[in-house]
Amino acid sequence: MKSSINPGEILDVLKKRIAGFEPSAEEDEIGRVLSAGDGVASIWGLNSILSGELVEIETDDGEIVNAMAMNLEEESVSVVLFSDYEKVKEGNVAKRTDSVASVPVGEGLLGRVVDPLGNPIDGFGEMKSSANSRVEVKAPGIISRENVTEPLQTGIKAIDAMIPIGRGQRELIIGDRRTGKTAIAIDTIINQKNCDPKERVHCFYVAIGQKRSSVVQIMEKLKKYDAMEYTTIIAATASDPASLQYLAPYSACAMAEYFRDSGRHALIIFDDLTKHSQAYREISLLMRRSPGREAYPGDVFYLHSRLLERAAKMSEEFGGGSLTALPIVETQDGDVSAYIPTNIISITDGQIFLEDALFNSGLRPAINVGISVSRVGGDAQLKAMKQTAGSLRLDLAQFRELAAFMQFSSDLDKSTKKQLDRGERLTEILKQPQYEPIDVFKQIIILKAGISGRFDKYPTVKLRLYQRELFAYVDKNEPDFMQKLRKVGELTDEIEKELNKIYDDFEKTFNPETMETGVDAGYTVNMALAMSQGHSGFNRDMLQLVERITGRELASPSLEEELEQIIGGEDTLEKDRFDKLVDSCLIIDSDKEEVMKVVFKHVAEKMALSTDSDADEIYSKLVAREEQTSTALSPFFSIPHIVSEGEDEFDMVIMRSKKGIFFSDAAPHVHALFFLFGSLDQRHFHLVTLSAIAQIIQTPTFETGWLKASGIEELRELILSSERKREKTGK
Amino acid sequence: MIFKMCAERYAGALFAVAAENKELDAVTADIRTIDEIFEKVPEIRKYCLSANIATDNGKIVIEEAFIKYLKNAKCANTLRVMAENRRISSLPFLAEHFFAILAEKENRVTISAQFATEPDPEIVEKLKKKMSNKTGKVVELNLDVNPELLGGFILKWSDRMLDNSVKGRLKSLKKVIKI
Repeated sequence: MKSSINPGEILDVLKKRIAGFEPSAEEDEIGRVLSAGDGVASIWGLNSILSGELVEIETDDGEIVNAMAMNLEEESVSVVLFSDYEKVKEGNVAKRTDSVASVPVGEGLLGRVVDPLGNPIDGFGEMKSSANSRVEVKAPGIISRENVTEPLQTGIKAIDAMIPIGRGQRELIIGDRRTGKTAIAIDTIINQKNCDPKERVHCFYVAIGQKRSSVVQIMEKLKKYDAMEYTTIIAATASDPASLQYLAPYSACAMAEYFRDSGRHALIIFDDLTKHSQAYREISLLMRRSPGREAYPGDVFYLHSRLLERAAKMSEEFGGGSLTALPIVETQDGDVSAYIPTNIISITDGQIFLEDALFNSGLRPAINVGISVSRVGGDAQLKAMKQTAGSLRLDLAQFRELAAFMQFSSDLDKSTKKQLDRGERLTEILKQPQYEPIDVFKQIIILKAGISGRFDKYPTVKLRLYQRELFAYVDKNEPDFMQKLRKVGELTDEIEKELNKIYDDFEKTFNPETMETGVDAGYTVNMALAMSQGHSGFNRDMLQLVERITGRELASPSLEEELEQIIGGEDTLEKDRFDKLVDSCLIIDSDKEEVMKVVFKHVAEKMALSTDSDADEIYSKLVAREEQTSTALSPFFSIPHIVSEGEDEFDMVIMRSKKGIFFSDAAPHVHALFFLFGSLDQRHFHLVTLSAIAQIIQTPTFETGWLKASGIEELRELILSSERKREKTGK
Repeated sequence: MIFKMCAERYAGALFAVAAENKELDAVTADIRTIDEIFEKVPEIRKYCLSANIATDNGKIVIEEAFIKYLKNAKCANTLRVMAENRRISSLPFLAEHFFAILAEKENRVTISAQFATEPDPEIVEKLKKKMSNKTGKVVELNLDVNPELLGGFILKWSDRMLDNSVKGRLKSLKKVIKI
């Protein structure tokens, strides 16, 4: 609860409520608990109770435990308990409430985390709800429905291009554990941010049987990407009773239906229905309903069909709203023919199938486009996307057929080889990192480039760079074209012509070879991307770069976040300290061609003078660090850094070698060396310095400036000035 | 739970037989005797409720502990049938259900009334009248005092409850202001 609530306000609220309170001695129908345990209880009495009606059970210490009637039997009523079921004892009085389960609905729920009964559990206090809605309602009929015609953009290239989802559709996301099912759902939510506010899709994420920590993580991520403001999370976590887990999707559906029925759009994600059916199985078995296949009760199909039927596109007369459902199902070892997966596959309008093998081979999202389908989304797909991606599926299918021959590539004929090359590039361009949904029109531009063969002239590893640069280029130079494409929505001859011109112009400026190929493909790609940030701003790759070179002693599980704060932050104190360090540090300028170890020895001796440490020790540490992973990040520079035993120590030695120092075959001529030497208590400053150096060497003119500088002072000035310049542009 | 249900059936059967043969009074007297036995010897209740009584043992206990004291043959036979069917565990609930059926037949209703303080005889009379109007039956009040109610009273009969206590009102107020 917020502590800033004014006591006056509380009084006002209470006054109003108390004024409207009419004490009345109502006659209630009561029953008595015959037996209780494991989340269910059977009650004697309550002869006229309705199925699904809520029951209040008063425990011995006066607490009220809510329950819902599930089985109406001849002699007794079986209920599922929603909370502390261990407190319910035989003989407790159970009271009818005359109402079936209902939840608060309305705009007030957006941005909140609630339990399946609609109680907020995020600690932000009470919610404003517009109404209460029944949890179990019938799905809209035939008259009130319409075909799915509007697209729901997920922001994921592979899905929007090949498995398009329409508003009102039910598309299953299915795959083994840890194949990125939730990631697709979360990215889809994040992508709705870019939607026109009038067409905004309100998102409902239902977490069933998940860990509380994962729910928190998802909430944090959504907050971070500003997606929480139009999202509600309904959480029935693993520690909640099975009854709440069973109820969660239905109550979430009721909340989402409020938007569907008021002519707006909603998206609901059930994560996941496997756990939901397991919760229902638990309840059913405790209620002694007959078990069927895999011990699921007979109505487990109806359980999900009545839920997913509530997703619908309403016709204009009924407001034209929509509710799209993305149920998630977890398979065991890729077995889609298990009971629950087959059931849900048959209910939904298609499925996105994620595969373990693809995920582990680095293809993420790990969508198997061969068996993933969207049965109704095609009609909803944007025309321009349809024109672009029409042949994509086919190309990829052919590629997969031929992929087995890839290892004999030298013996293949030209056309096969070309097809293989094309497929490899298309596969590469369909890769997409998490939390980076792409606007559909940008997707069109990049896919069009791939399909029309523009990638064939670049190596596969450069394609992500191509995409990034192309987007930056279009943003900067061609906003008018994007506007036009958005407006027209299809690829007319004229637009296609313009687009081709844009590609040509862009490719003139794009030269992936400006980056030297390097020490370690990973580093180089990262560096290349980091350095290409000329106009697209900072930059996750930079972060990864620093993270990767950070020595083991300095690493921690939260390193990424820490670095992010350092790089993005405005810690002027530490930055001043870095400037001072540069001012005072030793700079060595060498004309000789040397090898690494000799240089290390030399520097170790110099370092030993300014600190209390032993030169040999420093030397052996430097060598050991180098053996861990190479500190030569590019053929041009290296940042050897070590942690000393002492306290409150930090020193830096900078070295320029005009002819270059031999590190390894991959880095034979390293020209700039930054030796860092600090004690563990200076860990933070160590990271600050690492980040600062990494940012300085990103300056495009750094390399030439470094080699041209005439003396030690000029080198110092170069470092300081690039640091300042960076700060200015950074703001 | 199953004991109680079975007891209800046996009580119903016994009542029907007794009514048919016009032996209702004799049977009622016997049932009272059974009730008394249970009250006076709590061990026998425990014994009946314990699981897995061998049929033969059960029969002997029934003969020795109950049938000896019973006057009506129908009632004795009912007990024998129960022992035969291994339903001795339902025996402790037989009287309760029998009296409930009897009350229903005689158009009586027993209302348990809990008051916060000892009520005025006048109020009790008024209550009886009101409840008799409401239920359409002859009312028997079981009075009880429970200071925890703070004020007012709670009435319970069959599967109904009428809560007019201060405690109950505070509870519903609590629900309204959502504390």
